[in-house]
Amino acid sequence: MTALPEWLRLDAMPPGTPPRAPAGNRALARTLSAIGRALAPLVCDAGSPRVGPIEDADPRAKLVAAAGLIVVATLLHGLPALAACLALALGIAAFAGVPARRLAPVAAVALASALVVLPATLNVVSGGAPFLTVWRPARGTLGPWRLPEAVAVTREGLLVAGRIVLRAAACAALAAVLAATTRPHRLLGGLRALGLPQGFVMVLAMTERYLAVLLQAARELHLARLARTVSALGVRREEAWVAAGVGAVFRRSRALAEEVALAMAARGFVGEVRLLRPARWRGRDWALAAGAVAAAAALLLIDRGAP
Amino acid sequence: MHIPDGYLGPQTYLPAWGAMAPLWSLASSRLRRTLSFRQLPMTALAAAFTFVVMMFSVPLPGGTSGHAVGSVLVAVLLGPWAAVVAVSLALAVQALLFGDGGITALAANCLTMAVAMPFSGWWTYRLLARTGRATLRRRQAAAAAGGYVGVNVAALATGVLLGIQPHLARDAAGRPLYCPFGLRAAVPAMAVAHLLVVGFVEAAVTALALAWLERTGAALETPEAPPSRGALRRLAIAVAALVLASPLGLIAAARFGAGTAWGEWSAGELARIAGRLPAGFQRLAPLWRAPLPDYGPAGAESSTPGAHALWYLLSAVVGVAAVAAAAYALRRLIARKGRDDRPA
Repeated sequence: MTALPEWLRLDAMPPGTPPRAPAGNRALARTLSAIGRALAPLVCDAGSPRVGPIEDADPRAKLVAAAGLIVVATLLHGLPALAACLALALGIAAFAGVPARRLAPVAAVALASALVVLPATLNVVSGGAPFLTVWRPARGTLGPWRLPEAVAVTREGLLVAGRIVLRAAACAALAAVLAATTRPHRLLGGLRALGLPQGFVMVLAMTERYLAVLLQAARELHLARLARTVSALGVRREEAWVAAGVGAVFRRSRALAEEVALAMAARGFVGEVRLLRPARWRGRDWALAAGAVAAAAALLLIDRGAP
Repeated sequence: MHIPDGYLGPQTYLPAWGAMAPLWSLASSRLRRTLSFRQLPMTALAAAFTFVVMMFSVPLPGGTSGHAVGSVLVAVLLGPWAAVVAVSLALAVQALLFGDGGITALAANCLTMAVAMPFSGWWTYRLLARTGRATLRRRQAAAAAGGYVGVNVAALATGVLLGIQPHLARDAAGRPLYCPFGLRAAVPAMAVAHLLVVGFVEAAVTALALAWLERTGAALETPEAPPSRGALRRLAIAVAALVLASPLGLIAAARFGAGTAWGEWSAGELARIAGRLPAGFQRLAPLWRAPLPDYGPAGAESSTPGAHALWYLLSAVVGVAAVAAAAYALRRLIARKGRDDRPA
């Protein structure tokens, strides 16, 4: 597939002054940004590497390898093993030529996890011997909670928090590599070949196809609003506008569903789903699966000797 | 509300997959019966719609913004079983095609956002909307309540799934292996954010989108047929069975010498166990005297097991009657408000 030129990419800003949301209306800008990010990999191949060693592999092999490694990552508990798992995922991403922006969800998951588990580093949550005191409370209680003499970061707390952050980041990196190196139609073909019901896979494929249409409709809706907005409305009117947008997208999706159903009927669809059979496994696919098994075994072995 | 991979242990995500498998199968067969050959495109478009709704940022006071899930809106517009399939597919697309959201945690996320949320929201909507004449304002209020209840039920379920992790898996030193926060931290953290902020976002989007669709003449295929006599009879039988079964816990506790449930002690019991009665407990305990303390009149606990069980049964009947009366009064109140709102 030929890559779209840079100026035609939907996530790229048009030349000239980039559209800015009116002051106080960051929601509009956020929605446009989120839609742009979701739309880009669906409508053009700019977000995926062209033909790489991983991209070219059979989707079944990639699905089995990625899912297997993610399951193994959830079984790892030692920091060295989890760090090795994250390094492995990022190494595969680098080997496959996955663009850095496709790995943005990994950084987001790691950052969000770090914030969520930050309290777990303290002795009030995880216990353990303090090594960095952050607060000496004047009173022994905070609401219904009884506080220790000193609220401090502990080694045990850091271990617990690090475990969660590394594991969540490793799993997100493996999922991101799978998503970035496998085109949606090939991924769905792989799911079917692995035994998922035909109807489910077909609905998933249709969802992926029409998602781009609905995202584009939502994007046009927001761009039109942006073009006609001088200053932000009040919160209530903004919320009403968002709800009207949701309603408009629903109307569009229902009308589209009717049209698609009639088109399917016109082409002889009687309820039986047929999908293309995936190609046979080649030596490279066996090698990928074997590599994943070996990596999983190595990670589990590292984990056995870790604290 | 999406739980990423790594927060739930296999002790949780494997049973979640086991629980979702029959639910997906049941939802598919229900849809096949109601949507005929239109099932495939309608389900796919509903899933894509749900995905897009999750992209919409909703402005909040203070310059921030939040996201709606949209499960209750889909349930109100297309029915709860369609919502189960649509939201599950949207979550699967997010996880598989965008690498966003957990793959091992997909079933757990589906349990909260694709099952608990649409069903609780839809039941709330039906309870409040199907009273007397269904005016737009009443349906709108019911949809808002459905959205609020749905997202809070889902948040509670998510809090419970996260909060049970330290109880299920610890290492040899007793440190939690997965989400480190127990129920006492995870449930309030999820509940407060959703009760105070996210719930209102979901309520606003659900109600306003429904109102917009109705005002612009989009005919809805809301499956709002009144419940049949058979359904009401089944509900009555189920409630009666539960009432009859209510003394089982009492009998089992007496049989195994279990005593009072943990944390449900009276002031006297707590003073006996802890050796002292906390000052706050001492001050607040006499504020409210229940009409039937400990599910019976004073001294019922020391009566024979049979008499105690009978008091339990009677308390169950009184409780069910009180809840039914409160629900009926709420319905009447909303019906009257709906009539008052209609233009003369």
